[in-house]
Amino acid sequence: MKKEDYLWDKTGSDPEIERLENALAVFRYKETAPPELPAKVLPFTKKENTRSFFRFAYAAACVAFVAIALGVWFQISNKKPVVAEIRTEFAAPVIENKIADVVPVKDTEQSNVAAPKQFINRKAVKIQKAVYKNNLAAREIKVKSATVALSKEEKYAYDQLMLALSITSSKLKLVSDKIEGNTVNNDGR
Amino acid sequence: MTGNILLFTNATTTAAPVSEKATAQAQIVERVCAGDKEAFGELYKAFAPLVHGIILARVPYDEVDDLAQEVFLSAFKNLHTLRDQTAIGAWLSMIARNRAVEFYRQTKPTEELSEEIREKDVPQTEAREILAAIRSLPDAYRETLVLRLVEGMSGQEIAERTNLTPESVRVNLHRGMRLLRRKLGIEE
Repeated sequence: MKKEDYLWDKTGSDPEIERLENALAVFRYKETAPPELPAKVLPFTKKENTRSFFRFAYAAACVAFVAIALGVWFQISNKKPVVAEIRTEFAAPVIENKIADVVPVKDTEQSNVAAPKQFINRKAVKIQKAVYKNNLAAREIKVKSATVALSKEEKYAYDQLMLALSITSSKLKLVSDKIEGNTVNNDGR
Repeated sequence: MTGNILLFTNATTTAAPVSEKATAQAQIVERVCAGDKEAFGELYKAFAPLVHGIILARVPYDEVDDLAQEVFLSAFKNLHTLRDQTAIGAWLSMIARNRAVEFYRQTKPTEELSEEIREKDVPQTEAREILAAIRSLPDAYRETLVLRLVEGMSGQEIAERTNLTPESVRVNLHRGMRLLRRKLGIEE
């Protein structure tokens, strides 16, 4: 019990600890002068100033972030109708080019005259057959007409739109299949 | 072993309630912040043994004085970043520990001293052996033991200056002493 007291507050005695203390006294701190400070010591600025600065900076950063986010959102929302326009403009020239490639129109007075409906139908069927028989040729025609009619950005927008439409249609097909399947099941029951 | 490590982490994280001494120290810190050089002298006098002890528990004896001075200079430069001025002791201790770690990061070419110089400058062999045994103990134990056995502080003083609870210091002292006895081959 005495040992514990001596170790804690130096009351009583503990020869073993005293021996250690005496041996280690050579390492003890010897009073020295404090380090020399700079000749001119200025009072430090208060912490509140730095804190308020950080608060202001944080608020400004938040406002800037919201402004940028709104700007981006408006840009994206404004782009959608442009894509739709491209599609409507693009649809006509593709068909025209296809027809023009397959059926060369003679540059005569007769070209101004409207062709008979039967003749057009036959030609249209021929065109369809040609397109379905040779996929590669059909793709070439499509690419050729697309590059002629649209710029890169427009083409990209068109592709995106087509992709979205294809995804939507596939989803719709899935839904319709499911419904049909359900109805079959219901009928079966 | 695991129990010791757990106790060490607990002991270092528990802070003592603010005492009158701590508030007096906080006033000195405020004066130093206001540019009072004399107050810095008082601060140095009050905490130099603590910083000396913490560094001595980690680095060679020859380097301790220089490093302690560096710690106080660094503390003076960054005193305005100290949020709780009553925790100046814990803050200085942290700077001292970091400075000791930094000392070992710096690669310095070393040369063996001749026998004559060694005997002249370095304390006795027994003292060196005891200090080496203390240094081999876990951080919390070696710091408390150096402050108690080398710097001659009582347990209460250690608690006040390091902002630890007296209970933590008491536990660290007794467990550290038990380990030290085992290391030195002293029977309890």
